[in-house]
Amino acid sequence: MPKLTGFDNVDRFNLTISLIAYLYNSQRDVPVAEAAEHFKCTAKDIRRAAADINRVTPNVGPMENGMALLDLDALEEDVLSIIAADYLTEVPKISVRQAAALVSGLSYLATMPGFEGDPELAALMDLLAENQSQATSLLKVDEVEPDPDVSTIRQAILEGKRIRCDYHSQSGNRRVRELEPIRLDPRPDNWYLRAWCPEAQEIRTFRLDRMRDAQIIDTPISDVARNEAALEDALYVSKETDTEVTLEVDPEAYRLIGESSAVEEMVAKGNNPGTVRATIRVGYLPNIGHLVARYGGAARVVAPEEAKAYVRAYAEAALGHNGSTTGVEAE
Amino acid sequence: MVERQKYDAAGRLFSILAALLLAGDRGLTKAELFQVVEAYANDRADGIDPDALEKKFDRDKNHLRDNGFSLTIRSIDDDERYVIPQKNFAFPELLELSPRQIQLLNIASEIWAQSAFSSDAGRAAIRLRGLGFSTSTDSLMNVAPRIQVHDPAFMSLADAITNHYVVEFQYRKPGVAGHERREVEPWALKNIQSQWLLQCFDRDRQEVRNFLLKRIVSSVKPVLEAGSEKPIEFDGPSQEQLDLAAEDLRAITAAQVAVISVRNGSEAWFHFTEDSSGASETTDKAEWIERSLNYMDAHLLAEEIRSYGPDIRVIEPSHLADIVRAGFEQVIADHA
Repeated sequence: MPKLTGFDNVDRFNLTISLIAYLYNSQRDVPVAEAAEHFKCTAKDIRRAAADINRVTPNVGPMENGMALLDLDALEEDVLSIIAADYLTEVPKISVRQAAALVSGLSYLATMPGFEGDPELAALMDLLAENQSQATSLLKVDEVEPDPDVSTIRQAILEGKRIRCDYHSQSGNRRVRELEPIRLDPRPDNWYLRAWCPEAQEIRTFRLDRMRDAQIIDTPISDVARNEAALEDALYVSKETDTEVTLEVDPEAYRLIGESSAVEEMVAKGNNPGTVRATIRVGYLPNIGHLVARYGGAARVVAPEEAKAYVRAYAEAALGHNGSTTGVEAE
Repeated sequence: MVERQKYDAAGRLFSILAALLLAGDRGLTKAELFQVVEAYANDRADGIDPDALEKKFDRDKNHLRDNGFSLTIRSIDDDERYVIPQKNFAFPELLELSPRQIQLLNIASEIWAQSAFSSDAGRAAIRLRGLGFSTSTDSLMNVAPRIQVHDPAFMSLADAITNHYVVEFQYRKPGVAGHERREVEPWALKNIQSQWLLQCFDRDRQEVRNFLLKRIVSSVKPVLEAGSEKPIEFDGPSQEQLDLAAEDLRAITAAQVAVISVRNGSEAWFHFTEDSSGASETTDKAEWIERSLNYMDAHLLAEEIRSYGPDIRVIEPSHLADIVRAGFEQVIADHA
């Protein structure tokens, strides 16, 4: 279950609209808790929506006695019971941008193993295309390159079994590991796996492009992995032992600071409009080398000196092969 | 005697919508709306400044439009009346989504989590949940796709695409000093290998062009008609034009081939070679393994290559090797 991030006013307006049609079409009384579960909101949001519904009467004025759309006595018992509905019994169509946001998500999902050619998914996309035909072409996310291990891991998750795989960690350590897979997190750059690592006794994130030859083994996953309910979205969970690195970043390298909050705009210097200063947290400091150097100058370490030295050393080591001096690969 | 009620924005928007729907095709004048919508009536009773009330009404109208209600103004009997047309208003009647479709919807609406489009997707999903019922099992929840948007230009471009506004921005070409103004008719946003790309018609060059959002270094602004506040509009692209643009992009990628060599068993080898056949280094004892790959943009591929340091070599094309090398040299100079 995704965690509830809270509904804002416009979300709640949409909830109120949908709630009438939902209750009207369900043709039964619905407990507030059930509606909250269905709409992924809090019971309080549902009660506020119910109050908003009951304030409007067919003669377009404030509610007079007995004109409520939802039964007031039932509402006292936290049950939604619709008495009469003569408007909003159908769900009004959404805007082009809203449809585009949802369609692109659905079509991205449709490119993934296990969802390709899914008829129910296709029907949803058709519905939205009919809602707003422009929506389907506004935004498009190309498929993530399928990783051969994905289908094995999916199967392992469904069966509740461990996998064994060859894994090359970020710090350069390669070996065969056993993992208890919990969730697959496809991102446009890569597939990631959230898994319980029995060795480390914690949940870790694994990148599938660093993984080979995943196989299901006949060991059921432990209770701790099975009961892991809510996982954070952030792939990297910072720790106290992390090093803070201050960077100067051009727009070309914004991705590097994507999840950091303290971004400070800098006075545009010459040809560098959009350059910002930000601090990121790095768990294993030598990693700063490839993180920064990949942008070829669009990101620069300001502090600490140690991080600067790692970046320089990384680039120098790389030039040993990419520089013209080796002559092995050129021409 | 009914106690006077307090309204927040959600309650106010809902009463405006209900009032307009119940008024039907005849709609309501602004004065009538200010009267029948209790939230507005309360504001007036509290002596709200007329300008402030107008501004509030403008914001509310925008919210209604952003949420799909085509609020229009009709002249009826010399009055300007606000109407929400009933034609084509709702999703098809009798349409019901299955519990599994509700689950799919939930996954899709989470995809934009924490990025610019998340509220649009979230609100769309709230609306569509009104069309179905869920069951308690979330059996699809073991996959959680996410798309990140790190580019500030994204939302302005999405707006301009939806509204057919001509926009301008400053674009920085890699390897070229400075940046240049571009004036375009934005068509579509595409995410290709995690990079956002704008497909558009460049008005100065009179050509379909693609721009990487991360190279847009200014804000994106609508281009206004001369002597006016009104953005210049354009006719949206046809499906054929969009297909053609997509095909051109595919052709570029198909035509550009790089040959690289990766150190056997290294992280670069894991990343750049396939593991489907089982033909891993057990059958191939060579220290370096060559492979070729197609690419859309040499500078983007160079970034990927640079993150694998000394475990990768560029065999060809030579200009790709030059870009990789020049980037590392710049990094060394920046961190001296």
